[in-house]
Amino acid sequence: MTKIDCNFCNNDFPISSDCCPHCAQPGLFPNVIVAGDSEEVSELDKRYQNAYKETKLRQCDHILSDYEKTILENSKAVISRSLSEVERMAKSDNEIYVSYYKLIDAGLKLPSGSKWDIFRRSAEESLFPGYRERIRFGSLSFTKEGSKNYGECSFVLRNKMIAHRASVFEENCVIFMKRHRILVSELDNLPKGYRATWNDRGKLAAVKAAGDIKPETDFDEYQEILLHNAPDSKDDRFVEVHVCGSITVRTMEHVTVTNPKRRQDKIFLKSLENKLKKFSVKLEFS
Amino acid sequence: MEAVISGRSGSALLIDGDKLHSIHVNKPGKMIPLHEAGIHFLFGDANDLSFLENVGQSKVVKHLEHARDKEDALLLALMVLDSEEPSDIRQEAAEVLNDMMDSSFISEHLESVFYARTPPKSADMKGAFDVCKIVAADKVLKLVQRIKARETLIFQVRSACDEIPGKYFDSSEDRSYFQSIAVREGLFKELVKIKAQERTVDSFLFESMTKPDIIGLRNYRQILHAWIEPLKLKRVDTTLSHQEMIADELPASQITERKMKHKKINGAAVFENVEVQKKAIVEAIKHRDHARFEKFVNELVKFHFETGGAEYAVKSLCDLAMAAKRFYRFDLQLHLIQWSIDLKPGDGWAWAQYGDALLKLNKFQEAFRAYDNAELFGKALIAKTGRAEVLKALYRLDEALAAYDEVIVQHPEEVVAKNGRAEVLKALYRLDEALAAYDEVIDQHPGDMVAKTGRAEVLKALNRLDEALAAYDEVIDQHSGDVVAKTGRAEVLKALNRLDEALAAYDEVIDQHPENAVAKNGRALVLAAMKKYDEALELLPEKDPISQHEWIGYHIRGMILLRMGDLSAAKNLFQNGINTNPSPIGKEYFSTALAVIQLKMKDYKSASNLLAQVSSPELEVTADILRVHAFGALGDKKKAAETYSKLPVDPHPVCYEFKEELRRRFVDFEEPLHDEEWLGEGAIQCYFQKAA
Repeated sequence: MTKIDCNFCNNDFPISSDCCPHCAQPGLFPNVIVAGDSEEVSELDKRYQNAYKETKLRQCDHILSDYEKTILENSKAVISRSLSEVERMAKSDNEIYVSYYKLIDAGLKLPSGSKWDIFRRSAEESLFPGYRERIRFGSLSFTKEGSKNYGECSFVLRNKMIAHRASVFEENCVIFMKRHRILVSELDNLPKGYRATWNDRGKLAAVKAAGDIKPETDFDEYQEILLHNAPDSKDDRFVEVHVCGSITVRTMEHVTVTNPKRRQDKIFLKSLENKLKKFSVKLEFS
Repeated sequence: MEAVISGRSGSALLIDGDKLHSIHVNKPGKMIPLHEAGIHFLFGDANDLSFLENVGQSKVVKHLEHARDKEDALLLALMVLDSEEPSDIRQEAAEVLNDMMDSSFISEHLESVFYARTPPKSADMKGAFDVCKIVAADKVLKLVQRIKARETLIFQVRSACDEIPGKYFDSSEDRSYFQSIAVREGLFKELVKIKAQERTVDSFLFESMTKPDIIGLRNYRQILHAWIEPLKLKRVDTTLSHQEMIADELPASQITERKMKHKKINGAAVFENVEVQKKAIVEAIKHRDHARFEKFVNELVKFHFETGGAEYAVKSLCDLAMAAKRFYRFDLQLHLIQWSIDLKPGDGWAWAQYGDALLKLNKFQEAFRAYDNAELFGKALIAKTGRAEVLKALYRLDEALAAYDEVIVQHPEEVVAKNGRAEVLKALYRLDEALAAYDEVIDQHPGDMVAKTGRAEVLKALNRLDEALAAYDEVIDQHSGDVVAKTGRAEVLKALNRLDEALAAYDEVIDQHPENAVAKNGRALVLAAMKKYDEALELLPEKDPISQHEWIGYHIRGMILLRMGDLSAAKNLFQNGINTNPSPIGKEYFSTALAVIQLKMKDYKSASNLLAQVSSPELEVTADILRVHAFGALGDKKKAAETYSKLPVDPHPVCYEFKEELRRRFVDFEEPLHDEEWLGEGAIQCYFQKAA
């Protein structure tokens, strides 16, 4: 799906556009549009029905249902970053910071050469044609911490600030592409039913977890089923969250940080704490 | 192996064939296996990626730590500038940043970023200065001072970059990408420094074309050339070029060399040496010997660095700037002060002088900024009176009055403000109040010559010419060297039609002060009154006036051309004055003068339109006289009569008869005594009498 119809003027326009080029009505969030596509929804639904059939046979469909309910009620999007980066995000509505960071943040050009292919693949637009740079990646979690491999600071996003612009993917999208051996030529025809809108995350997570749910599975195991951090990141398992658009301190609900040791990190933390308080964002130390 | 590094995320990706590892700056010794699926998590939104080829782990760690420190330093610097940050956090940030700036790459990085654009209005520079002083963060303080001092240059370099023609870029994203590379490679920093030191920009081209990221860009040559073109030094008649004299920007080797050359010199001998050099420079200024001026100033500054340092150089430059001002060489005054500010950006007195020089050159907005800096660096009083002066020059007289009043309330003893206030009252044509104000100053400060000459000026404006003459004579008796009093006296003599005495008085001033534009202008007017037009024109600027007095001289030239009957030349001159004079009151003079020509040429509608733009009190009477003519000739009897009724009684024979003719024709509808030709000439004569 590369084009959508404008709700206002009924003309079509590229899905990645910020607004309709014909009548300037604001565009929606492309990742959400794609996830909400009828074919995606239909395929996901089929997988969902199959997941329940299968767990019913093993007499643990009630646990799957409870897991799904817990996802809907308690799961959040969590992102891990460095402390200074989070401090920067907290200042992203301040003109001084915006002015100077804008000077040095003008796009990225990858060097040519095959030695950079592996890096280039991760930056590819495959799943996000034309809007890759608008997507922030996180993971679905019941706890407030993400992977420490990606930064000493984790923050949880407020549901109401992302529900309309977030989608979920059954796993890390790069691994998904490898697993399904998807070639660049096949990008228009990706397998359906592996992504969902934020409000349907329960369904997707349930489908993914069905194979791990057993009759003796209890509530304490839900987190590990939802998010598993392995020593080798290739073995990490999680439901990937894609949030379209910027994140500021007002998007955050909770921040967890490892106690800093460097002098500058202590200052950043103090400043962050000060800012978070203004917006009633909780700060915890791990 | 290859590596991708991001200081912002504090991570590096190492690529060794198919094997991937990550390193985090907090644990640099630990290489963590990474799957390619984790790459987009590793760097998050970070755009500050750098790509290294054929490197080992230790080099990657070093790069990563540098990249991280640079990111941290920038964030800390922005926190120091952020007024929303609590003071204790700002102070801590300044302290830590100061320590980080021991590493030159940090200072260079910060300059690279901060010289790429002027600080936004929300940047709290004053707060940053205070914070740095509290914690003695001298390196940070110097950085912030330099940013403030170089704002104009930063703006120029930035504007030049923004104006590179779009045809050299594939898209706006491409342009943004170039600019971000230019920031990272320090190109903005280099250009600002080159401009600050008045060096040629050619060396910049050479240096920038050695940077791989730059030469990797399409059209890089054209882009760089287009960037520097508007920044190339325009040679002024001083043809000044001086060596890099900013001591703490000199490479270490040169500083060491200077230290080794330093001899123990007797303080008195140094002082004498300096005074001799300064005297020679002043002579060079006086005789317009630009080559000697340049040579001697360079030598003096060099001498100061060898014997005392920047502080003494700044003092000498400021003294010389004052001397240049005395000789009406405002361009040299400006140049010398700019140099001193570069050496010591935090010198409030130098900034105040800079404001004064800019004001003299009619650069009003820059003068405001200079006075803002003077206040920032501790000279609040002089800054406030300076700003009031600028307001006066912009003819924002009510604001100027309020500004002086504010200073006087806070500093009741401040005589400069009191005299300034009296001057504004005079400009508002509240002459009786102005006289009273000067009298009050003289009561409280009997020795103040500015108040006494100011009082004499007001008496002249009130047409109490004998009293004005006596007042000037009194000043000259007490201070025979007072040039303002001497030129004022000459002016009164001219007003009394004692033209030979007036000429002699001006000549006496010009003998001693050949550059005195007030005397030259006055002499030209006397010569014109004697109908010695060619001699008069020789004294006056033909084109490109800069200072206020040069503009006055230019206007006088137009008036003389008008008197000589060269309407075409006069018209072009006055139109040019309207188009290019930066002073609002100056423009009105030219508009009024052009209206006179329009009346002569019977273009009454154009004359009326021009006069509609004239509103200053000092031109009110003149403009009204001309309006009566225009309204009357256009058939608007009502307006002609209303305007005529406002006119005061005028004792001068030329204007009196002209006004009478206007009354006969357009107010009382009596038989005219003179023809149309006479009326046109009458307008010229009357204007000449009023405006001269």
